[in-house]
Amino acid sequence: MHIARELFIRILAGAAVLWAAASLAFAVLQLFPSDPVQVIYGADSSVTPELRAAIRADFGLDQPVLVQYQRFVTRIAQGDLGISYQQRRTVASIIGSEIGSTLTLASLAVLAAVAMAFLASLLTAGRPGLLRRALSSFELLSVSTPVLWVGILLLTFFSFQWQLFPVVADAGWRSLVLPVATLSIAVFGSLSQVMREEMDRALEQPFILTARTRGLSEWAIRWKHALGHALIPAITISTETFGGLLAGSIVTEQVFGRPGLGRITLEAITNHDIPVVMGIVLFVAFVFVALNILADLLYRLVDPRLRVSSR
Amino acid sequence: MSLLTVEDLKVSFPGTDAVRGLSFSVDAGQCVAIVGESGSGKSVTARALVGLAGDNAAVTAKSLRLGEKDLLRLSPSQWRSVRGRDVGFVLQDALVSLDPLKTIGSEIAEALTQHVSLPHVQVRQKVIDLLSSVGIPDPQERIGQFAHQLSGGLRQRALIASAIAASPALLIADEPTTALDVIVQAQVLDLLRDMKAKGTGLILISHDLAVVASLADHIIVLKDGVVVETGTPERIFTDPQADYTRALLAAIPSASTRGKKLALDTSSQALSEPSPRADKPALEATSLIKRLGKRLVVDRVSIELRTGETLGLVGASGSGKTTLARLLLALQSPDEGEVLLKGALWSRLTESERRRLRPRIQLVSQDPLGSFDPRYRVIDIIAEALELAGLPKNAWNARATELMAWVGLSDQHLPRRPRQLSGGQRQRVAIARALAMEPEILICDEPVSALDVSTQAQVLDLLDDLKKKLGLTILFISHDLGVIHHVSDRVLVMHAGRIVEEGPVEEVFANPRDAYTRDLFAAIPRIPEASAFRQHNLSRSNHVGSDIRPISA
Repeated sequence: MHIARELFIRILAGAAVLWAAASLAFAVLQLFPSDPVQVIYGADSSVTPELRAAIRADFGLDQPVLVQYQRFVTRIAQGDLGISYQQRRTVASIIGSEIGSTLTLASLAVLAAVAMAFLASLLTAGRPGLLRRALSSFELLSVSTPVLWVGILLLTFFSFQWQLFPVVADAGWRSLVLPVATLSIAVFGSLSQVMREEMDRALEQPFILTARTRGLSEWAIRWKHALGHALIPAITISTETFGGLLAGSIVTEQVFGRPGLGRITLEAITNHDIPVVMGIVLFVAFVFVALNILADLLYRLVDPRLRVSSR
Repeated sequence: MSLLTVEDLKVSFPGTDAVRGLSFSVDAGQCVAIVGESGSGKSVTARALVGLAGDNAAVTAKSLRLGEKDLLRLSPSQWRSVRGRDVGFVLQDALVSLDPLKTIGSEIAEALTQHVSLPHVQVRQKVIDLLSSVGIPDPQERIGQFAHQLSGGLRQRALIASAIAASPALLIADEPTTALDVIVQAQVLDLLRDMKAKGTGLILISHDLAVVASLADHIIVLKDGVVVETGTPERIFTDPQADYTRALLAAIPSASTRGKKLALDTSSQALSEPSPRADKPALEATSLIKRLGKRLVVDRVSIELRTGETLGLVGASGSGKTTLARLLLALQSPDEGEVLLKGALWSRLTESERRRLRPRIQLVSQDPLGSFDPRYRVIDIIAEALELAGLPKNAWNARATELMAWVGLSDQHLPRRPRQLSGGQRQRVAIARALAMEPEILICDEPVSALDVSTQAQVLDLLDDLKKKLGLTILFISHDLGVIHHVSDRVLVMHAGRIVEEGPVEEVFANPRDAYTRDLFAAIPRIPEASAFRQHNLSRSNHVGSDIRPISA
């Protein structure tokens, strides 16, 4: 079983990447100027030396750096991300409580973008015309407009002007529409550009002519033959973007006042809540490693030429 | 009644007339060959016959009938029911003409189910039957494989199977064997001959008169969209009327063209004898081994390239020719063995030591377009080489002009970019670039394989001239035995990584000792001698098989 071995190697490599990310984060934080005790107790309060020593012992900060590092790595390896200085909750539970919201937003945005890009390239690849020009202009506009600005525009018109969707987050699907639209417009632009280019190229290939000589309809040719060739870049872009959205929807979450990873990241950084920052760094690294492995598996699924084990 | 009748077919694109009045007819069990060079309109004709000349093409004809159907009046959906069902179409290279993301089984099934409604189980069985009918072994296993997993011959057969899946009465094959080596080419031509014998009408499109010679009942020679000559193979080969046909026939390199110019625009006088040889070999390789995984790509190859000679290296694709060339050029290092340049260390030197010797041995490859930076002008391409050759900058222009003249180009070509040149001109630029380094040895890896036969003739003539003028030593690599026979003094036959035959060209071609070499030579498509036609006509028959779908109105 070649594929299983291949997968095992990829997972090992992924683990190495995570270890490197954790070590780097640990090293950077050793140089970080803030005093954890002050963070834990608040900057204003004065702490007695006894209490300070107790807290430091509690968090293991009295140990030599190497021992701290060893404990840190052991902890991480067991999936324990530690305890927040400020919230006195485990970092895992903080991320867990916020991830759902971010995950919903990112998945819906990527799904919507992928669906739109599929449709756009199916309709316009290999065909000059008004629709193609209109879509190309829209794509160019979307990739060159900052997400913040798109969000504000959507809010201005759809919430304030026409009051179709709520301004701030509440429960229910209605509050999701505008943030999802904001993000998916941005993703759609680059995705659609690349997918159409790939499909344009595929439609020029001799195998498309062969398919036409079999009597296939134009739609069947696009659907059965050309589309598959646009999938590789679609997988690359959508998995990468998905990872990016999980980690970095800060702007969108702020504009629409949504809970999520972006918000807690921002809070943790401003409050010097080191364990939470570390936890998020590691979580994001994990997500990217996992998505990369997933993308590799999907490539093989789509393109038989990439299956190394094949004869 | 004829299967297909074409009367005064014209196809034009904005600004050009690709086909200017073509008339012919094809009967069941008959093969009509359309022969011409690139730009002659032969492929456009093929595509127009299935309504796929393109959106910007204007197709007109006095009459264009397929059986009872008037092809000029078909709606798009009627066209779709003609394609694949009444007319099958086979393109050149199955590696790119079959969808690389689909199994060959699903490609063939697609052609089948498009026109015939069958239950799923029967589709699979029919596909298996089709695969075995085109001579693919182990069809049960092959059905789930992809084009890239099959050899060139097998995937071309699979492509043919997909074209005949719905049993069309007419099969159009556009350069069906051009990407194949001679042995496989002969097998595919046999397959087409079988189909013809079963009653399929065949339109065979090729740039190569020798390929169509054995199959065609009628040949149309096309140039710039105009028919220059038409007739039976016997007439065309024994008594060609048009100058162009004569030039085409003369341009085919073979045993009989040795020592003569191929291109007819120069007189075909015999050239002077090859120059005498020096004793020390220009390049010498001993027991070269190169592995790729467990496979031996180059297997204990020892060769000697003698100063002043042209050594031909012939072999099928995948035989290891190109890897051997890379080893000789020291672009790859051998796993075992070594290469000596003029008796001195070559493959064992470090790259920095080798760099000052590199000008002495230069490469001309098959696809110059791929070896040029598309943004460079010809002058930049040449200047780059001149700079590496250490020529002072003020001498570049004069030297570039000289090089251009050597390769039959002029100063006018210097400001052009590769894409603005024809294939032949690009290859001339590639040769000029190689010569700019003042090499002693030229390694030519399939230098004419991508060229039309008349352009090929010019480039071969050019190489021969330059060799004499500059005293070059040439290693000429080709899969084309005719070309090898024409250019080489000595020849090496390579098969599965090994040199299986070696000797003076006449001796090897007249009396091959190795079994593979004999198979190889037997498969060369030949233009038959006049006496062969009488025999050929006797054996020609037109029996019509029963499994061919009649064209419904």
